Formats: sequence, structure tokens, C-alpha cells
Amino acid sequence: MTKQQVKSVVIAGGGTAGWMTAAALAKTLGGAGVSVTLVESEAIATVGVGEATIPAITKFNQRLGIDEHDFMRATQATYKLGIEFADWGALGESYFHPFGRYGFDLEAVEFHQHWARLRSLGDAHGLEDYSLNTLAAYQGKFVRPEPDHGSVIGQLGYAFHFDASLYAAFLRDFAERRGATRIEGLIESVEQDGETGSITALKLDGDRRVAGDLFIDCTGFRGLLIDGACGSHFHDWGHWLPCNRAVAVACEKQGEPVPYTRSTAREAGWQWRIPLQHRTGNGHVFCDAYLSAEKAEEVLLANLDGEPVSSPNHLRFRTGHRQEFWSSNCVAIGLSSGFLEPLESTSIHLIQMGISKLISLFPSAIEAPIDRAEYNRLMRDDFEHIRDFLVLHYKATRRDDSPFWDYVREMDIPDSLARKIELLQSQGRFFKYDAELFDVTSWLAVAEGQGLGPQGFNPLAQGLSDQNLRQSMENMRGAYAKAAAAMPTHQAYIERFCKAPPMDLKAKTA
Amino acid sequence: MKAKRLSVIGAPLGVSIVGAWLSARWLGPGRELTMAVSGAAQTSSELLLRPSMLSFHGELEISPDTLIQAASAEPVFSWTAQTPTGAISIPFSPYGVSRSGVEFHHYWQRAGELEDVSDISDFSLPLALENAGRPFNLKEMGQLPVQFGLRLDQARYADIMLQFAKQAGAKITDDTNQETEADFVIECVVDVESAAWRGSRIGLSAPDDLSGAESQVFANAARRACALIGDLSDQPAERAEFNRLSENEADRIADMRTLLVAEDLQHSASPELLRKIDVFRACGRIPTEDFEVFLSPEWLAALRARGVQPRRYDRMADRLPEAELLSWLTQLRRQIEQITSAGNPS
Repeated sequence: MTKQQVKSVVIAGGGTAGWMTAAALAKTLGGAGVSVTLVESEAIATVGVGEATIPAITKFNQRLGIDEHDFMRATQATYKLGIEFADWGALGESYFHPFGRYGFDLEAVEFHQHWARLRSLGDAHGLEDYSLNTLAAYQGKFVRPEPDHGSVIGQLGYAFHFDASLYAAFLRDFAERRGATRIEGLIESVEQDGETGSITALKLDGDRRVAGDLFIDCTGFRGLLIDGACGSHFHDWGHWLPCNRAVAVACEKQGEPVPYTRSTAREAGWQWRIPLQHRTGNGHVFCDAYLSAEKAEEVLLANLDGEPVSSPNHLRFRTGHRQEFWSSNCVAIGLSSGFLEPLESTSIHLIQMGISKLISLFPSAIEAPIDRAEYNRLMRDDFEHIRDFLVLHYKATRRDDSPFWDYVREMDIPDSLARKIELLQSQGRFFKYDAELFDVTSWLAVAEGQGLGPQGFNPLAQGLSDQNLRQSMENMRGAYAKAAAAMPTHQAYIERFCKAPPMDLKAKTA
Repeated sequence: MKAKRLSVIGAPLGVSIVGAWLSARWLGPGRELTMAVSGAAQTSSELLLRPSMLSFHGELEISPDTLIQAASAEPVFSWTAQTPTGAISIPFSPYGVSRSGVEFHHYWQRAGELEDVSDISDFSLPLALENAGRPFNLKEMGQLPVQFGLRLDQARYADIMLQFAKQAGAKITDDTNQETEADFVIECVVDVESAAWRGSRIGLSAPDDLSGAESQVFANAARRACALIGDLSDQPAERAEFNRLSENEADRIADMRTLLVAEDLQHSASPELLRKIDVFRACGRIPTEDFEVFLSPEWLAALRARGVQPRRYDRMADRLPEAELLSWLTQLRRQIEQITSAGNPS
């Protein structure tokens, strides 16, 4: 039994996680003699996680060999240059978290150290003046950086906003063309080996049975296999990230879509706005200990750009992760593996991380304790790194206008985060840990944007004379402003390269 | 305003590497750097600089050519380590070449299950170059798809770095009581303990039992100190970060030492090293820690030398048809032979 080779993978659940997994496994393992089967039921609605992504998604698509513009057209996608955060540090304040870096290093000293020094000399220019992503985003500009674009536009980082259900459909087509098999059916029970507890088959309605060697749980928050069958408990981080509910609704788009996500802090949580080509996605993430669902929905509907085109969809979630992401012969990917609120658009990224680690550690035998332990360690690290960055958004606030903000402002935080904040705040020091997703640009954007930015600077930044420093920084600002001005508008770029066909919103969302 | 005074004292190798970096990166208006060497460098001793030291020198604008001419440096492609069963060569670059994101050793292992194939070291260009028995000039090196380090005279190298620091404005002295005058002291020794920053003093130490590690550790420490000591005032957060990184580095070096020399690996290895062994044995993958000194091909060579073999290869290696796999391996060996024997790499 334990030496049995893994020849068949069964994925339970479609949706974004299921079809991303099926597409990647069919592409990479199809030639290695591993069959991929996905079981899903049209009777079960998918959560449609994501819609907003981070730049790593471009690598996932590239590895699958997906043409970016085909993908954009198929998923009604727009480009994303970063996230605007409004009312997070304090009411009335806003800042931008860009995907591209800030400035250029000077004299082998990081850019932000020079910026902090310039500020100490009385200069009022903010970090955003040295970010092409920020300038372009607020001017509604976009161009895809190409190798011959030079070093300024080469700094532009981007991701996408897309319709997650269309992305799943796009990947379904991709996976099925590469040999993945889809079975329509409701999973009624999970069959397990009486001795080892490993999963042997999924039992479907109509007395059908789908056997496999390795099972991927993509059944969403339910965790039908990882929780129900394998009993992997949930590690709860609700005390650090207390939001536990969301209400989502799509609305008609107003004007041209902007190339960024907006996150607006509310009384007991925050609201997202994600512009797509055909509509705008919206949602309100909140903590039900401080706000009722009715009130949250009322706040959401009162703050839409256009008329709603769907009924509000209420979701409950727990923040945290499974103690074991991979248990026995079952690997949880997507919402079944854990959940971190979509404040930094990391949900699809965590799916991607689960898939890439599974491919790296793909077991030859059903029983693979070492591979499993390594997978669990790596995924736990990913979750913890992202958790710290999300908690920073709540901790670094001066808001005192509601009990929710009082709680998060005063709460204890993980030691790893406290150490990072202390280093960043004193003299802008930042050390990225090995597998950490967010780099100094991200940490600096949020910390500075919410009032916890560097108070000093590295004395090494004093190598330039005051005059040289002022001139160099002015030159940089000029280069960014000029590059942003020369870029086409986001809408013009979409029109030219990846315009999606019109969709009947009411028919689709009905 | 009184100038901030930093002293770097101790063994010649450490003082010269750390001092050279600080003279280029830290020294500036209102700052003084004094370097005091205690004892002479080992004049007859050879020093190995690992490949990453080339970028360290590059940032100081010291070219490999300078080191070749002034310190009789020669390119090296691997280092030698002692194990309980004898000496082994550890290459700086991977065996074979990876393909479609799958490392070569997985393909090699699969081929070995299909038919007899020669040892994986026969597919190592760096090892073949090391054994080629002829010198390689820098122009050739630039065309070869391998990383290389330099082997050179330690005393002359230390002298080059000291002169560099002097030209950059550092004061060189043989007065080892400099520390009494300084606001902050960095003391460099060579042994096997880890570095630590306490109060206004950093004790840097580097191991002398793993070839190439001592210069690398001093260079890493120089970068780290430079990034964190700032204006030499006491900074608890920076100090803690320096010590954390230094401990991680020392732990990884200790892991390599254990892997190479321990008689009983299973009972001597740290949890991190055990994980490397277990995961490699399970699936041929080498997990990395938050901070690594040695490259993946080095761990691979050391693991194999100690008899740790993967039970299976990456399934993605199966995507290559058998005939194509075997012919590819034959071509690889032929190319390696051509490169090393022709003296004119293609």
C-alpha cells in the first residue's frame, strides 16, 4: 500500500482553486503519466475568490504558456498597478501601495534612505513622487513594460483584476484540452482506507465512485476532505485579523476602469472596489462583533460607483490556516487550506503557491511523510509572512473613531512583526526573509502611508552633498513624471490589445 | 562636531576585508576609520575566494584581473573538503544543466534506472575544468557557463585590500590599542564561533576549517555591519537583527561542517540539516533555510558524498522521452569533453 505509485490525481471542487490546480497539473504532469480528474457540481456555487491579484500571477500564466492578451479578453480583465488605501492611517488620509519599486539606489545606498534624508532637510515630496506605478495609476495610464522600454518603465510592476469565474472557465478549457477530465457530480461521501485512513475514492450522487491516489481538496471553506475526512484542524488567527465576514456585490462600471484596486477603511472593516472591463466588483469585509450584517450591506450599497447588477452575497470566514495543509494523501489548496482576508489580494497567490509547491514535491508514493512535512512547513511560512503584512495595516492606525479600530490599534502583534516594525521605523531598515512575498517597497508604502514610516535614515545616505542629493532626486521625479505622461491611457491600451467582448451583466449574474 | 571613530582590529584577513568595505561604504565626512592589524598574514598560505566574492570586489571596483596580477590569483571551480572517507571536490556550479525547471540530477537518476550511466560527477563541467590540467584566462572564463572563484596568496590579497582601504581614506596602523580611542570597535578573529554585536563592539569570527568560508563570512559581516551600525550609536533593533543574521549564517556553516565530517549524521545533525537530509532522501529536493551560505550544488555534492541518495527523482523528469534523455546525456558528456580539451570553449 505505502509503495503504491501516484498515477491519478482527483481534484474535489472546481472554482478558481480547482481549475488553477487542474490546469497546472495537466500541463506539468500530463506527460509524466499522471491522470488529472476534477469533480464539481454546477449545483454548488463557487465563492469566486480573488478578482484582484499581485504580480506573481503573471508567472503562473507564463508557465502555463497562456497568452496574456487572450487571457485578458477571456476574463474581462483590467491591469492593476497597485492598491489605494483610503482612511486607514486616519480618516481623510490615503496612500498608494505600488507594485513597482520606488526610485533608484544612489551610491549603492537604497533609494528610500536618500528620500528619508531629503525629507529631514525639509523637502516635502512623498514616496509617490518616485513611483511610476503610483503616478501612472492616478493618471489612468498603463503600458506593459517590454525589455526595450528602458530602466524607468522597466520598474513598472503589474497584476490583473479579472472575473474569477471567467478565469476558472478559461482554465477549465485549458486543462481539458491537455487531458484533464471533468466529472459533473455532487460529492456525497469520502471513502477511506480502514487501516491507514488515506482517501481511496470520492462517492458521488447516482452511486458513482471516483478513485484516485492523491486527492486535492478545493471544496472551499467547507474543507470536505481535509477537514471532514482527514481531520486537519484549523489554526485561528482571529485575534490578529478579527474580520470574519464579507458581503460582495457587482455594480455597473462608471467611466473607464482605473488601473488599481481601492481599499477604503470603514467603521469595522474595509471596502474593496475592483474595476473590470464589464463591471466593478465591490465588497465589504467586516467583523460581526462590531457591525451587523445588515448595516455592513447598507454601507456597501451606499458606497457603490454604479447601480448594483447582482444581489449582495454574504460570506462567513475564519482567518488562519489548517494545521496540516497536506494530510495523509489529501492536499488542501485554496479556501479549504486557510484564509487571509483579501486586503492585499493574496488569495489567488496562495493558491498559486500551493500548486507550485505541490509540483515541486509531487510524491511518487501515496505515503510521502517527508514531502508532506516539507510542504506543510513551506505553506505555513507563506501564510505567516502574509499574515504579518496584513496585521501591519490594522496595527499601524491612528484611528480612534470606533471600538473596532481601538481594538486593532491596541492589540498585541506577532513578535516577528514587532521586530520588523521596529527596524523599519528607526532608520528604514528592512531585511526580507527567505520566502517572504512582500518586499521593502510594500512594507515602506504601508508603514509610511499609515504614519509608521522611518523616523531616521541610514547615515550612509550622507555620502552625497545636500545639493547633489536635491538634484538627483529632482531628476528622478522628472524622469518618472515624463514617463507617466508619455504612457497611453489604461483604456487605450486595453482597446488596442485586449478588449473583451461585451457581456450581458444581468443575464450572467442572474 | 567630534568625528565618529570606528576601529577595525584583529587578524589581517578579516581587518583587510571588513576595512576595505567600510572604507568604501561607510567612511565619509565626520567619520574616521582606523584599521589595526595584529600579527602577520600567513605568507605561505593560500586563500580561496568563493564566486560571490567576485561581486563583492566588483562593488569595490577591484577587478579579478587586478587580483590575478597582484596576488597570483587563479580561477577555481570547486573546493575540496575532507570527509571520514576521504577528500571530495565540491563544485560551485550545478551538475549538468537543468531542463524545463527540473534539476539535472533528477534526469540523471532516471537515466540510471533505465541503463548504466556514468557517475554524476562526469556530467560536471566545473569538475572537468578543475581536472583539465591547464590554466584558464579571464576571457575564457567569461564564456563558460560556470561560476568560478579565485585561489590566491592570502598575504598579498590582504595587502591589496589594506591598500585599497588606505586610498579610500582609512588610517592603517599597527597600534592595537586603537580600540580605546574609538566609538565603536569591530574585532576580527578566525575561529569557529559566530559573530556577535554587544554594546559598542562587534566580534567577527570566521571558520578556518571550510575552504572559502572565512573570507565569505568576513565579507558578509562587513556588508551587514555597514548596513546596520549607522552612526555608531547603540541601536537595539539593529543589533538584534545583526546578531540574528549572524547566528543563522553560523548555523548553516555548522550544518555543512556536520554533514561533511560527522561520523553519525543522524545524531549529530541540527533539525535544519536533518530536514535537508530527509527531504533530499525522499524526493531529491534540497530545502533552503532563511539564510544560506553554500549553494545548492554544494549541498548536493556533500549529501551524495556522505551516501545520502534520493529514493526517487522528480516526476517531471519523466516528461522527457527515454531515447531523448539518453541521447541528451551523451551529448552533454561530449560537450564537456570538447570544452575542456579544446581550450577554446564554444
